[in-house]
Amino acid sequence: MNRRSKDARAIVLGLAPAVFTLLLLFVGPLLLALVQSFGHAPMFGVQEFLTIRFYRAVLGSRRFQAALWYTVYYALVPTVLSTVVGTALAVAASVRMRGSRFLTFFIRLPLVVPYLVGAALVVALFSNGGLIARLLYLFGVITSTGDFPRILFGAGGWGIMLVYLFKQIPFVFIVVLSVLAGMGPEYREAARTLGAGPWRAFRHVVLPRIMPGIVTSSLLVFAFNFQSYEIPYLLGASYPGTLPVEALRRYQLPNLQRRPEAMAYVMVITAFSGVVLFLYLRAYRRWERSRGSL
Amino acid sequence: MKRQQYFGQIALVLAAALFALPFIPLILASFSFRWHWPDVLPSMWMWEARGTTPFPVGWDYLFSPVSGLGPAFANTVGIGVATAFLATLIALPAARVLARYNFPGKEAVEFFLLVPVIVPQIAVGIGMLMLFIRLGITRSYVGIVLAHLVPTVPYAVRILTSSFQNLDIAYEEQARTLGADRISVLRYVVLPLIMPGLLTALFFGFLISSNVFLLTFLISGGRIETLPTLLFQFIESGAPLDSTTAGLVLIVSIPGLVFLLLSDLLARDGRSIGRTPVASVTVPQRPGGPE
Repeated sequence: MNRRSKDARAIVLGLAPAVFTLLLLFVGPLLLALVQSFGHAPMFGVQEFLTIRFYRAVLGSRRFQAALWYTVYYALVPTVLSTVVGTALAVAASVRMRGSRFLTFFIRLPLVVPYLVGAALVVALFSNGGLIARLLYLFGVITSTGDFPRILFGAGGWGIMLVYLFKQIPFVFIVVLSVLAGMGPEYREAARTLGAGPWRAFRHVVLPRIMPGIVTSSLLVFAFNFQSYEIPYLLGASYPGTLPVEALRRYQLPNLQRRPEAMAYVMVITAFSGVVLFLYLRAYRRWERSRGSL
Repeated sequence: MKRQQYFGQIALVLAAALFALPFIPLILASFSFRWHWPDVLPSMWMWEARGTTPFPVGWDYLFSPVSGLGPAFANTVGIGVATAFLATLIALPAARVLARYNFPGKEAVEFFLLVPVIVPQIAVGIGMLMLFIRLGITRSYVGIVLAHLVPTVPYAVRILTSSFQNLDIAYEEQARTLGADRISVLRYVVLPLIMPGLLTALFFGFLISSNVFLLTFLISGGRIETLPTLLFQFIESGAPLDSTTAGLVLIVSIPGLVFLLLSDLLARDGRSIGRTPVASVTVPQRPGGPE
């Protein structure tokens, strides 16, 4: 009993600093935004708790619906692409060869710089007066800056997605590579020796083992893209912004009484990404179970 | 098998080139003075322009007091170091508990300590701004460091938990039986053994903090600039291939570059810092990581 209560004390005391920090700085702000979104914001002269009027104003607007659609689109496309490409590169790099450490250095480089560095690189290369347009002009493909397709600042969001790919292919790469490194080459080699072709060995032996890494990394990538602010702000269309851009726009409106709308926005963003992540994890668990029962 | 390896190598070389090459025009741009459409190379370099204009150009401008680079750099380093130490200190006891004890609700605690990485920073950031206005700590270093704890503590907990898991409790017990007191056990047994994890957590905390944009942007209210917020302004107002933006991009990349070189060097030493921890966590920042 004494030993147990001593353990209990050690556990509580040990966890206290981290839990308390996150309660104050993470849960606290979220709760504050939550109550404000339901109309308790005396700071801004809004005191009508509990109302859903701000949610109604937000969810009912055309602007929100457009923003939601574009946010999902900008988040999803890079997630799928970077998952596929990053995994393929990791599998390629897992075969030991000369110079692979040197090569992966460059692939890991984007991982450790801010997203804004990616934004600056994309602007330098892909804007209408950028380097790629100049090269095309040099080779006579285009005759003026106007001929170059509008990659940045358009609703197509190519600029945004390029930045995400620049950062996230390396991310998926490094996560999957570390899982592969932990697994060792034996499984694949055994499968190959037993007569499996390279594709079959990958599909039935390697893939199931790296699946947790793929799921985790793609999940984090999607969650990040869905809430990113600075990249869509800098490289996206002025209308519609993505959900985070629209949220901050609401926040910056001169009419303070509309600030709870911004809170409603961020709550919707949080809820939506929570639901998506939950469904994705559930689908993955189901897949894993079905595999186990085979 | 041989052919497969060959394709793999080509893919890797291509990928490495695609990720590294975009930095080259930025290096050129940073030394340029005039690089108009449709020139593929600068038509005038900064050293050729030095005498001809009354204003500092390119790197000269960046290193002059007008650019604000000096304070932004100092702020980034200061905030990064403070955040890294605080986050590691806060995470250390929690990591030890998570690695050593089993208790009811452990999974929930682990989940809670990881979830800030996935919850939208814009939501936390706006709520935090409200909270910090009430506490009177917006536009202050304290406010920014506190804000940076949210994306850094979860990673520190994760990194340190795995390094405590690798530390066999038998070492400590042995030292105790041999007569060492708690402090000596900590000083001579535990600390040296978790040092690689500790260093990784510190470096990683610094790296994340130095990459955070949105939280700093919201909490600082434009009064305290860091490298990312400065870069944001430069990109917002600059032209493509603009020399000062290009120079700033290279400077902003320095912490990451140093981190990468250090982790590779230490990995070669056979110590555990580097690959696995970097791999098992994100930026995000986002990601956040990672940012």
